[in-house]
Amino acid sequence: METVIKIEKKYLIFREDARKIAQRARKKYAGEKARSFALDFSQVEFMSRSFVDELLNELQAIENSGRKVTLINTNPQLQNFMEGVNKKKQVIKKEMAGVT
Amino acid sequence: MPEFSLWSVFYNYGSVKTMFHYEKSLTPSELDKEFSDISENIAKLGFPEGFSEFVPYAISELFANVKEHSRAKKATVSISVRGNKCVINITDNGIGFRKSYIAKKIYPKDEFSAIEFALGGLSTKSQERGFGLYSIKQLVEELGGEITVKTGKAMVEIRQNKTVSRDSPVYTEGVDIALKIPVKKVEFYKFVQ
Repeated sequence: METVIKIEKKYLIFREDARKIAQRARKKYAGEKARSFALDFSQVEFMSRSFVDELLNELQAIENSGRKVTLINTNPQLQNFMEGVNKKKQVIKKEMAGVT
Repeated sequence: MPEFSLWSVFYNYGSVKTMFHYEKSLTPSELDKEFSDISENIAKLGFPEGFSEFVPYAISELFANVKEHSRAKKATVSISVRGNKCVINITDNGIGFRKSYIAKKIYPKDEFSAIEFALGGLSTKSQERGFGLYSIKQLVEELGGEITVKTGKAMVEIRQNKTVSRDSPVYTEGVDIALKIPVKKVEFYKFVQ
């Protein structure tokens, strides 16, 4: 069964919020065999772009370590927002790769 | 504890008398909780589509700049809505944009350049582009509003999509950002990716 981590804050605005969530996730799965877990955003009403940017960085790092992360119960607007920020990050990454 | 605070909210839907005024002096550690209170009060104002997302978005990005980059001990936040005008002003007593960039090994030649970097979306967290102030600027321009950024002796004003840089009559310790925007519908998600 998938481990679910419930995010309890309604407003997530700082990068440190994303780091704390990632830290909780790492602690949670450290002692478990489960390779996948879910972050439950049902309580969350607002995410800043800074928070989303950092959360995506943290999720990538977790996935690079061989774990699978799923975000669940994210409201549709926030979901769209996260997807938009993610797309923009990929564009910037490509631009930066082209520059260097 | 905040040094001072002021909340006054009057609602009068269906006319232009809607008024909201909020002003508080806060430490960076208080910004998080304060954002919740501000958002909940702003949600009650019934702003048009897109604008209701823009206001908390702008405040959250400016708060994040204060908390994560400014090294400020204090920030002053003022938000007021009167009729169809919304004014947001956030100041801090931190190190200012230029020193913030220098700390990250990015070297604007002066305070004006530092403001240009920030408005152009150059992030201090790494060499990649940041979108906090950049997307706020885009949205303010789309709304036909004004943005004024002051740091040290520099002041940059954007009005009717024209940028004017000049010496500030008053030295600004840290950063002072003011947004004056008409309350109207905007395609928020088009600008914030």
